Amino acid sequence: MMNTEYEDTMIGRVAANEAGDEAWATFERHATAEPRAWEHLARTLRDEMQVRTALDDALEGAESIEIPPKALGGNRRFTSRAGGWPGWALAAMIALAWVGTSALAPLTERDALPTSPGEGGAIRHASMNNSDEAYRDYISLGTEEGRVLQELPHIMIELRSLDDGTGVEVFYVRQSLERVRIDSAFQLQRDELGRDTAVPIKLASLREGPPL
Amino acid sequence: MTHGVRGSEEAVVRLWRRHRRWLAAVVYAHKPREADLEDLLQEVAMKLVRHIHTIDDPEAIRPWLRTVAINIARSAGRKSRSRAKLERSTDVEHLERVHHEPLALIRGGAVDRSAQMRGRVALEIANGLPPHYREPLLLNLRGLAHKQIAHVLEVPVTTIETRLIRARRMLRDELIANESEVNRSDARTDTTLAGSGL
Repeated sequence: MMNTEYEDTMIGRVAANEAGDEAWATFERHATAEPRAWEHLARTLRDEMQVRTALDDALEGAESIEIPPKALGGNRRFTSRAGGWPGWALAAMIALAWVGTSALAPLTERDALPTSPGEGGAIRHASMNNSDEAYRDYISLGTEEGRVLQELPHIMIELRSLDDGTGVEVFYVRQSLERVRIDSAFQLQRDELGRDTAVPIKLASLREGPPL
Repeated sequence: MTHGVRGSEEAVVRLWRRHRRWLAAVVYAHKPREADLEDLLQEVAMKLVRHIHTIDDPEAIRPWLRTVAINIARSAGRKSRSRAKLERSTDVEHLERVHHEPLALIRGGAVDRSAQMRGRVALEIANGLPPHYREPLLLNLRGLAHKQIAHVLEVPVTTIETRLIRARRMLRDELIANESEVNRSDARTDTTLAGSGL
């Protein structure tokens, strides 16, 4: 015969929706001999239903609590694109991350891709026959826009003599002093798998530098 | 899962929505009565955003969230200036003291025997159980199975089953005592009215 504690155990499983077919069969056999067990079960299920309804009412507001968008970071477009880039490219983009002016976004219509099929989609500008001219155009246009403040001296990294003796190969860094207004910034962090990810940082935490 | 969450705002939002239902029960079980549940739950959400990148093991998410929720709920209790120390008790008079309205089911006069009021009384009794019974019971009422509760609380499933059985027994016994009190109160009211000739 099922004792009270075992009856409580069985009914508790039913109330918690944890009773399987075998448990039900055992309970039914018990209730045949002890009809009050059905009353016990009915009461428990009634209590369960009422307290669950009251709890749902008390916690109703919880279902609408969302994470504030600002807490997730400012530049959604940047963070969605950052994951697929090589680390060095990502590091470069970190320094240039701000809303609406990423290096891949066209600045004006004339910079938009692509052009006619006959040119294979390549961009050709009137004064741009090589990369040096393209860079000079960039400095010129940037200066007009107020973005480029000054072209700085190149920094030579390495010199290598050419095998045919015709000259040397120079590896250098080209620099320019530029400015831009930003409303969001990111910091490069590396996770436990060694992957680079962009984490938004508060602009207020950035320190002002000395005057130029 | 956590690798996909990093750098993915949509994944963090989905993660929060998946867990906030049972987290609300944890906060409710541990917060002081005067604290606002939604405010505390918002704090839990913010903690998740700030620290999700530190969690490498997906299995650790639920226990970690529970710990955060409990800490935030208890911290609200420490901050509360007007909070009296609440004895988690099933004593009826105490339950009336800590509420701002009498529990109509247990007083004479116009007794509210509606299912809704009965449910409120049952919830108050449930929320007055000792913490190691209260929390599993509320989590189970919110839809978590024994195995899930065991994972969240980091105890064996058999422990959870035992605690739930005892919690339900305590709840049942208190409700029966409560109803007996109501019936006695009704009888006293009837006697008084009869004696007054009304």
